[in-house]
Amino acid sequence: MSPVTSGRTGEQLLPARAGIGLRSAHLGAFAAGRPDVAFLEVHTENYFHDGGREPGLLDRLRADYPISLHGVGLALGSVEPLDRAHVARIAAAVRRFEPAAISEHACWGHVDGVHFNDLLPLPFTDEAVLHLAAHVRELQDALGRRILVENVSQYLRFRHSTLTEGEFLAALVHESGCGLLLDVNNLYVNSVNVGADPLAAIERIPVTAVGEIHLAGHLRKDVDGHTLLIDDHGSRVSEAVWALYARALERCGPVATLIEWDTDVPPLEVLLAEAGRADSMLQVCHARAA
Amino acid sequence: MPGLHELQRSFAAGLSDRPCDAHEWAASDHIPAAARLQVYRNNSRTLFEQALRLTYPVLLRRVGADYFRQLTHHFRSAHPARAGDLHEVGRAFAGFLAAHLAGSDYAWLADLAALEWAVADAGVAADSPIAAAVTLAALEPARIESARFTFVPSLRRVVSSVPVLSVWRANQPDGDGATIDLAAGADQVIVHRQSTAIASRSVSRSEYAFLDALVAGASLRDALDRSQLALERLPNLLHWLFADGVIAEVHATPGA
Repeated sequence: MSPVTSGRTGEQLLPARAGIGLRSAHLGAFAAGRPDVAFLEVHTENYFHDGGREPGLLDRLRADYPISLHGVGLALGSVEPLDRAHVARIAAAVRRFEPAAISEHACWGHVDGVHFNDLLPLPFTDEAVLHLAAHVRELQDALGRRILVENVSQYLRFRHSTLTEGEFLAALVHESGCGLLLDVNNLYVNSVNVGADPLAAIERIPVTAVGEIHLAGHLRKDVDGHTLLIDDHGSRVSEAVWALYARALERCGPVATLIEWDTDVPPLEVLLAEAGRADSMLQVCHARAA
Repeated sequence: MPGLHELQRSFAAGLSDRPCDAHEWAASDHIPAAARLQVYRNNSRTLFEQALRLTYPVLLRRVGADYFRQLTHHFRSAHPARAGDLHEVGRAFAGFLAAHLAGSDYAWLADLAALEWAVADAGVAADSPIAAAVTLAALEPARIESARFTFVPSLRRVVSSVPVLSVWRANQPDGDGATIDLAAGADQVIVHRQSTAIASRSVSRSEYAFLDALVAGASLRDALDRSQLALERLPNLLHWLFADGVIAEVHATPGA
């Protein structure tokens, strides 16, 4: 499978190998050397400011690694208009760091001027698709390029949803021209939490739109004797998620894959080992595609 | 069934512990919808508190986790987040503490919060070239008095009724944890960034007033007059302002 290119500008996205998130705990290792990963992902909002250690380091690292800017605060699915100041800061970060990929989430996060700083769930309805797609188009217009939109973890299912998650994401791609960041851990979390079918979602999404895959750990929480999985990005990828990842690669072909670990961040070697496992699976996928 | 706006408004009410219909629209099965909504409520609260913990680690250490959580809860009720960037969450915290703790023995914690915000803000301010002392020394003596200055974007200043910088330093990860006598006197603190490291120092009232005047655009002569800084202290003050990289540019005005 050829590398995913943007339908808007034709630019290359991320290499179809494994990358990791650039975390505070590992800045020293990246300042001192160049660990062997295919790309680095950062939270866009952490690079909204002009100065300090991290922007300066990222300026240097982007010469050696493709960079992915992953936003967590814009909340594209919110009914209120997009925060123009926030969009402007994303645009400034894009100009400065020239990322290979830019991503946001299929969620909402604020209403009546109050922000909840979380990835809040959208119902899977035509209304939500159209609203989200309009904001995605607005952001893509402001940035002059396509973005990837990530599926989020769910802790509840809205009874009035008329689409499956896969249908919702496919419709979003159709309406907005965006790409997809397929979070395989979130597909698995949703299968446990709300009975969603992750294989059906993988089968339904337009594979040519998938520009990146996220793999992460989750936390099991007991609620009155029943299990909820919390998408806490705080542990190794589970075996169930690795298995689902294998199915995603069978469907999508080799895709840039990020090991997403944001809390209780381990030593760098642990992240690199997780990325190494993803790389091994991607190599098999590349060989199959050849 | 709710439209998107109605759903988001009701969901938001639920996140803020107000009555809402959102859980009626959510499928309830072996786990009730109310329990599912609680996950989002917990996430939102936790993320808000974590943002404050990252910005105010010394305050957290001084008051303890439980009281810090209480303060966070009250602050969030009074000042909910108005932006999607979590770094902005704590901007009004010092002002909130000043009002919330006014008249109590803990009122000084507002100054500690102000210092921690200054440190955080200085840490992400834009980089800037710095002026060398020779720039001022090269001026004709008559033009030195009329010189004005631009300061580095990371410069921040905090005034406190207690020795707040000593408290902050003692509670750093490499600090000695010493107990500081809060009655030891007031503090005037200068904070700025040198490369990637934060630099801080306490200055006298007259030095602070002198710097305050310069920042406001006064000439060196006018700043001396306004601050009543003793002339013999000026060389040392200018020396560290230049040596520490606080001054970005010297502006010489035409001589008389």
